[in-house]
Amino acid sequence: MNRSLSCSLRISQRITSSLRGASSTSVTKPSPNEVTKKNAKFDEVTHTGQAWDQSDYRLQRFDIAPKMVNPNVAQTLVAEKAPKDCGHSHTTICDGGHPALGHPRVFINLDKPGVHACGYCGNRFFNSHVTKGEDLKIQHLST
Amino acid sequence: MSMRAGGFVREALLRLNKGSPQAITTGGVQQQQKRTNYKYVGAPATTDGTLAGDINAGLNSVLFSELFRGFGVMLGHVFMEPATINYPFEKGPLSARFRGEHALRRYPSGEERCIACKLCEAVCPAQAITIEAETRPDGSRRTTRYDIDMTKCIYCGLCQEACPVDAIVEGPNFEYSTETHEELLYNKEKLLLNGDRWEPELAANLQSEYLYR
Repeated sequence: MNRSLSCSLRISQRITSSLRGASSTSVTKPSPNEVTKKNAKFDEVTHTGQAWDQSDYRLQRFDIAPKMVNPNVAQTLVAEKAPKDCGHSHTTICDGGHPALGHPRVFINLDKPGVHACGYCGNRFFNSHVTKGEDLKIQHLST
Repeated sequence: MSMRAGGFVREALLRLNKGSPQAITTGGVQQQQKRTNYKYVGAPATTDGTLAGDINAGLNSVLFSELFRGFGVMLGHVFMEPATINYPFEKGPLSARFRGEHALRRYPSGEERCIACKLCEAVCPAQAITIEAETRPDGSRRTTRYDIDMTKCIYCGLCQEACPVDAIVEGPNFEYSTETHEELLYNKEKLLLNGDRWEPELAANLQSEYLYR
């Protein structure tokens, strides 16, 4: 074989092997019957709830480019925001922060003890007159 | 030379028009019709036929005056600002209504704007959008799947017009060519990433346009 050709082949093999090494999967995947509930290692969960164990053949599409996962999960982000105290008022409004750039304005009834979340933007409100102590753990969703 | 010839042709034509009325025969009766309203459309005459004009035309052709006038135009353009831009490094201006790559936006709290009303899916004329929705563990109804086939999309902007909460928008990005078809089948992950990446521009565009929507 031509010497330069064999050299370039070796280089390309090295590149592909290094690419495989960089991703989470190894070159030799375990067969599906080797994977049990105990030793199954799932990759990162996406927004659509998709996660595959290490033997899944569909992982080969991520051999060259890694799986794109958005770490900002809305559910956890909105849970971190503290609920707003609306005092003694029976209702509050939520328009997402701006009348034109937010969402359609909704009125939220705060009479029941607990935290009431807006169905659009997830912002939470409570009436501090009826909501005391442990009541803050009660979650309502107004839709 | 051709200009001179054009001048002669015109003179000959004018002479012809003055002198000879056209004879037209209609139904056995011969009518005389004088046609004088001809328009000359050939090369303009370089001389008016006088001696001074002839000398002027001769000097113009001997001294290449057209050539120097052309150089003058060129010199003027040297000092002009170029109309071209150094594209990948400089970008031309874009309208706030430009319809490029799609993005899913969020509220400032981080919550997704999309409430899975499926209006965009219904209005999409290319049927490029696929949505599946489910109640989330915290009770709020959101999409579990939001796919846009960017190879089906015709960039009409009906999805962003249909959206009641400005969740799906077409941003100012138009540089997202890919190597394979599969990379253009966008899922919710990619669309939310686009939204996170382009949020300052998207918010500024919507802010500048909201009085007209």
